[in-house]
Amino acid sequence: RSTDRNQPMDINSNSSDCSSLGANASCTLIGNVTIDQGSLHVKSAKAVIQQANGNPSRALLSGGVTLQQEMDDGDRIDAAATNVDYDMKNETMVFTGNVVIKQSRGSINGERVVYNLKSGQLQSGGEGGGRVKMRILPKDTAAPAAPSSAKGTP
Amino acid sequence: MNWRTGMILCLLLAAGVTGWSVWRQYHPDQDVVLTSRPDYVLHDYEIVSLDKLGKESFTLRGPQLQRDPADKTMTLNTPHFEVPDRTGHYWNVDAKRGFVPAGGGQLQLTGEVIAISPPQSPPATRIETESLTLLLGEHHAQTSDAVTITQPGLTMRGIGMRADLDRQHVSLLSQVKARYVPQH
Repeated sequence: RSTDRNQPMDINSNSSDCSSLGANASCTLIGNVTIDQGSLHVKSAKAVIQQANGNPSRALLSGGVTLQQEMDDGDRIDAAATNVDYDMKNETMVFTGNVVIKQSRGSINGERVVYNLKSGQLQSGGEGGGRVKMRILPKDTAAPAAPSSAKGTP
Repeated sequence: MNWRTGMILCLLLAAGVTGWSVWRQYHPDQDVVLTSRPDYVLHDYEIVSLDKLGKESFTLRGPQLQRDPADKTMTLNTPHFEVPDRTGHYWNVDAKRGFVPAGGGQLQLTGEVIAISPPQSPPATRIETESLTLLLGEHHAQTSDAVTITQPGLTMRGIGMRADLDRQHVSLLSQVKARYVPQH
């Protein structure tokens, strides 16, 4: 949700290694990394968190990333990719490598997808992003009817 | 018991006493009075240690330091410890107790160990743990205890830490939990 950005961000991992303790430090977190901020939940094998003036400004997630987040309109996004570059200042995420993004309206598969957390907009392909496969479900989809066979089996 | 047996017993006794006194000479520290009493005690002391280049390595102050002659160790009450970082600004480290093992080279701090970063190098950083071993020559610190590191807007907790106070490089070794609270 758009309010997530103002929530505390909790980051857990097996170990951490901070290059310095300064306001612009960079910390590498390794092993079962989880990032939770409001309705945003991210998991990855490794994360490099960069700070700017004491605030986390960017997270480079790698080693297999999964993400869930609720949208302001009540919908929900479930995403998975090999790497994610999360720019916290501009509130954008760039998913790269075996990207799969699912929402109630449909799904996107590709090699590179940009997700704007403010607008909820998804932009795929570009920059050598390769082919994109998108499936958009009709608005009022009834549950798919059971296949009726010719010989009247039950 | 004829005189020959008596003579033998006397000789054995003399050999035993001689052997014991020789052994005592090589183990003077075994003197009961010396082992129970420090050979020196410092009150309200300040120690400035210099490295090989004559540069200040650390400064140590405290109300009492005593040295145990038996094992050549030192125990310190509420030591206050200042370590300069590479810019010459001081980390301040306090603890309930300090212990310097024989040969020196490291200082083991225990009991409410608190390290505060130099005020001249923001953001203010506070490291808290129950024990901390300072490797004096290398400005390194390490512990296997739980550690809490706090900065404005950030709290990091973990089990076990290795820190290079000179370069302010800190690693938490396991069970890391960090919380950023947005600062506007």
